[in-house]
Amino acid sequence: MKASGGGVILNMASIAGSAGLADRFAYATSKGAVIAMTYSLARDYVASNIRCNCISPARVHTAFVDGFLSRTYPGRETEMFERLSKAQPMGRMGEPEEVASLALFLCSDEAAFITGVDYPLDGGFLNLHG
Amino acid sequence: MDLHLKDKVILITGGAKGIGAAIARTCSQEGAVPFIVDRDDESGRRLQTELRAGGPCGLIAVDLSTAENCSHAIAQTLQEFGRLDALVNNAGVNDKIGLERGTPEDYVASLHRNLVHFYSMAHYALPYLKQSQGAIVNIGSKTAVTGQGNTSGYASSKGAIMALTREWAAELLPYKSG
Repeated sequence: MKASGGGVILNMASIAGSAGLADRFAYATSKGAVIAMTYSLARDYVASNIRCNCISPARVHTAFVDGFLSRTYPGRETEMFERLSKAQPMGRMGEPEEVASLALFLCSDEAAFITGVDYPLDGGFLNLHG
Repeated sequence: MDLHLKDKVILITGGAKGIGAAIARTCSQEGAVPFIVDRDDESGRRLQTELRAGGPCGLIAVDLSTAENCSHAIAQTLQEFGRLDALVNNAGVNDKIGLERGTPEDYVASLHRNLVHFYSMAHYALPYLKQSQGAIVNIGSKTAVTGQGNTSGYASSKGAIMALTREWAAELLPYKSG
């Protein structure tokens, strides 16, 4: 990227990196480090025209979620899927394509003035309490 | 970009110049219908003429310092285009009303220039945004989280705008508008 005059680094973090989630010690500390790494890289390479940002999704409906539910709650997958969805402020999980849309934007020149930012993509998880 | 905004009506306060004008132009390029609300009639007309070459564009020259004027701007948008899909609360000015170089009266006036119309516009737009399951975008500032100095009115307005953004997101969750 330095040789070609610039570029974009996009890190996938998580809301676990900035909010306390139960029973996610190693994952949360890793994602917290990803967020810090993002800020650090952004600062170190701003002069090289390399932007660095991260996305922090909340619960996103991927094959991982379906696999987790069928392994952990066999026979109760639908019930538990609904319960996990309703625990989100919007009453649903995110879609992978919604993460992709933000990723595409951050990688594009439309986002040329954006660096060193952690984007929660969380349906309101971090800020909408109470 | 194609953000699927074709024919969506997007009202932009302070839309005649600066960041607001850039937002209006980008809306137009996306096939949306920008509705410019700005007290600067001359700049507004110039931009409207430019954007009308590519599609419809609304304009009302109004000062947002009274709730009545805010209500009128929303009513005019509905009268002209019959719908409202997004409100961009953008109008404001870093007017340097400081603690030492300012008065309580200046401070309140700054809140009216930078904050109160955000609420009024959202309040009057809400019934139509509920119909369209639309969106509100508030333009904040880094002064909301870092001190600049000598701009108490602007900085505190922007801090309040950040709080209002979270507050409205919570209040409007049931309507899928945010």
